[in-house]
Amino acid sequence: MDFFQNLMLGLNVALSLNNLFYCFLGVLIGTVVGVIPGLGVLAAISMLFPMTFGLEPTTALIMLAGIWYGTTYGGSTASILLNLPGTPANAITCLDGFAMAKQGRGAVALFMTTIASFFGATVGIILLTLFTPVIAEYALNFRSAEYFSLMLMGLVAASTISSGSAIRGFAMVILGILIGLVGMDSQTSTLRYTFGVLGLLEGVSLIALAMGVFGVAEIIMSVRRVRAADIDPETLKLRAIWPTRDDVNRSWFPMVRGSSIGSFFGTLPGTGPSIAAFLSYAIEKRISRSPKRFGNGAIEGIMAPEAANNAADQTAFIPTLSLGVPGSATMALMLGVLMIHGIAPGPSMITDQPELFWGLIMSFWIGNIFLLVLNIPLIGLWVRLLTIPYHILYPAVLVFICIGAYTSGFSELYVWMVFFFGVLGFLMRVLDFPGAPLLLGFVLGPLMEEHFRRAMLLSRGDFMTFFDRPISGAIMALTGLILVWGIWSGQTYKNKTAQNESSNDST
Amino acid sequence: MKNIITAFALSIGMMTSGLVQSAYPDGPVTIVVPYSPSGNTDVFVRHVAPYLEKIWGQTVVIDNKPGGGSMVGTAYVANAKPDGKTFLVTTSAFVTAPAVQLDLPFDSRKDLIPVANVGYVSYILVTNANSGFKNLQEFVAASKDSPKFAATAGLGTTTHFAIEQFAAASGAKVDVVHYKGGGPAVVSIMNGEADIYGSSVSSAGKNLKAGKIRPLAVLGDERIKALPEVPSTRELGYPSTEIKQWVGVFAPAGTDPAIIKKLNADINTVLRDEKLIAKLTPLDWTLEQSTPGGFAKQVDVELTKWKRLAAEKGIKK
Amino acid sequence: MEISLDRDRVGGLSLIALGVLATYVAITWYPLGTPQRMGPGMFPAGLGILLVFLGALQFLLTLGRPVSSFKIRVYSPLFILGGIAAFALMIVPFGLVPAIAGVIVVSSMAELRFRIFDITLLIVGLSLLAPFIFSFCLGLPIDLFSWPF
Repeated sequence: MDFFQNLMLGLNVALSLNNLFYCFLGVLIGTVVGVIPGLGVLAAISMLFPMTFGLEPTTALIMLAGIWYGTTYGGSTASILLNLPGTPANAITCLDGFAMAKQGRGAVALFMTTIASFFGATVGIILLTLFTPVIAEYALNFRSAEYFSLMLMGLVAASTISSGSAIRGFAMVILGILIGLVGMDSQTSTLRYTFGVLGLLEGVSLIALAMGVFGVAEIIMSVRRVRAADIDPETLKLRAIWPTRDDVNRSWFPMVRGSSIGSFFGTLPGTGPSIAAFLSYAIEKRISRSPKRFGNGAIEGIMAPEAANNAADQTAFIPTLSLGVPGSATMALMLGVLMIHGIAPGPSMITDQPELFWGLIMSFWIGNIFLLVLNIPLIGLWVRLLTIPYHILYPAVLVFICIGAYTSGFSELYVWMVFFFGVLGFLMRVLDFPGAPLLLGFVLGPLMEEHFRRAMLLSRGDFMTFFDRPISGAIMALTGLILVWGIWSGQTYKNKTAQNESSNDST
Repeated sequence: MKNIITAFALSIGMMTSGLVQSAYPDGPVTIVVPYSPSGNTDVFVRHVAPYLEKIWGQTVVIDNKPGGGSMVGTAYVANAKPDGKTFLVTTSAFVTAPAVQLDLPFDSRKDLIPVANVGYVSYILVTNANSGFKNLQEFVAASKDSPKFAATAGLGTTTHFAIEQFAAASGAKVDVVHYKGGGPAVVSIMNGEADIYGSSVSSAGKNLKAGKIRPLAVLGDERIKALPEVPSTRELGYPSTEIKQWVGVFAPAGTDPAIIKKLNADINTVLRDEKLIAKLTPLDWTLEQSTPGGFAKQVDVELTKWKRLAAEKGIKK
Repeated sequence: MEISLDRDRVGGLSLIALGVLATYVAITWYPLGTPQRMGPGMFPAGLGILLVFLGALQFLLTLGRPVSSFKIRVYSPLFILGGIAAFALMIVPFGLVPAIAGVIVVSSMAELRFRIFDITLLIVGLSLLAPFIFSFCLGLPIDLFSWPF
């Protein structure tokens, strides 16, 4: 069928009143879920899943998809304003986003991330529209060894993010992986590091970890130190969202780079938005002429990762729709919707069910436009939250964290997990260890181990398999480069500061 | 006058029977599926759930707890409160996994009560479309020269035992590679990472029809309706390879026996619904009626059988 | 509270301790397997060793540098974490509303001032808002009040 005919068909489907309504409902729910700390995407989609039974499969998918990419939009709000990542992919936005909020530029940050998200999603959608079958074929070339190398690269990049030493970052990555390994080993069913606590069977809760290490630790450090009176009322007017010319100039390329990285990672089932966000941040920092600004409110530090994670959200549909292989639990749920209605995704779905496929893609466009329109006016509302005196704000945030943790598993065990990770997060702050690499290590660790073991099995114990295979070898080489670069620039930074200090001393 | 009294009596009768019925369940029911969403079992449960919701007038919540070849979710239900509102729907992995996973945090016979056996699907041996094995015999011969990789959906799953049983019966030499579920296992066949896999029809899905993966045989004695042109392993000269994946419902130990009986009865009612049968047959499902006692006996027999096979053949972690 | 040890040294030692713990548990409790078929213990054991290595590296890099002492807050973590513990202890026996009150009261004490008006406002407000969002809107089954005796 002709390409434009397909687009028209899709628009026809997506613009039907019914589908528009459910699209809007989906993105609205997604945004709310993303903003409230402690509510996870998976929980939200699972709860609303039964609602989709009565709907047409296309409509059901449109709504669920809206929730899916809507949460990433909302998630950046909590990251920027409260240093609480709404989703793991937003964790990296906390770094510069929260710094910008503290400088009174929170509104700008929120506005620009919305734009970046839209940009990234658009790029992802275009790729989805044009290249789905091709990309799906290409993704099949990635096997266990390649996945391991990719994740290793992502983690090494993550360790070099913090402006401190790479040693600390890498150590946190490893600690994160170890925490991720807690629970039942899927390859052998051995319980690891659970020390008899049955509730840890499924492992540590991601929400508890993120809220403890980021949210609770942040509150502990901020109590009695933050004064609401410090916030300039000027920053609250609608005009305050407007970025400076400098901001805009600095944003273009990071958005483009972020979108490319995000689109790429989204297509590989299992890697996903988090690794894309982290990697694009690391790359921006490396190639920036003024890397010191990162971590202190550099606008590139939020534009690139936000573009990346939204692009990855969209391209994550590629393996799901064309191969029937879901890249994440959420994608698996969407797959479930299709299968209940008797539609098996696969190479022939595009030709068998053109209304579904193109209608869904067109609805992505519309959904993102809805999100743009929804989120911008809300910015003023969110930023006003910051004017609430801190001694009233923080107990409220704590209440939400506790309830969110409790409801994620209906057991007080999860609240204790937040407690435990709050202690850890606090100690990490005291000893100057960065939190974002910990989170990434936690998310990727178990997967990495699975791929490592499988790659070793398939190569019959040959460790060189990671270097012999062409794609994997290339990735490992890149990883080595990032590692060396990171150590070298870390050293240069130390030398420069040492020089500065010694020159100050001599005066 | 008579009519009014009759109508009155009837409505009282309906109300009281409604009252008795609404005694159970008195709140939302959670069905734990120890597999990822969109897998074979998960899709089955999601098809059946609305019918159960209609009978009970309560929401049925499906809780996916994948991992450990279904053992994570199973362990969860084994330790759950026996309030009659939490159940496990799992596959024959329930009887195969304990044969290899020896340090499970629960006892398969004591901590869970079998409620109903709902039906089964068959397995087909698939390989990559371009793999060069024109038929099953060629594969077996080639593997004797150099061992091939066999994918499974996880350690101790029925797919694992299916391929081990086949290897034992045919003399083929395979090294098993475990994946997390049927989806990734099928992908491994598509990209050639593994050479053979015992898949259910719904896992293989459209990829089979699209020609990306090729069926070599149906594991068992008979051909199946969903794929009539595929020969059975017995036809090709490999007997004793019969294996089916059944799906069963379990309750945590301590659940009220009256609730178990009612659950079994409700499930059997739902499984007789023509619309449901029509939807599931193309996915190669054969639905069955069962009793808790009969199912318990079957579970007991199979637990012993697979444990013996694992010990004999040295199948371990 | 001022700690007169070098921050990076303490950090390095902590890493070493964690690494030793991780590797010890992995080696003694879980089978290691072979490189081809790795057991559950091999990967974590390796990670633990890496952690020890990194900790040692961090520690060694501090030698030759003057000791930089660091400060550690005491009251904030005590009360904030105490508040979370209060919620964890109270939610199951006493229900959501008392647990909300618990976390608010205890964590507010981190301010080192007892603002009775603000605290009451928070308790009332959140006791209405939270059940509204979680129980009513999302339909999650949580007991608002319960009594364990």
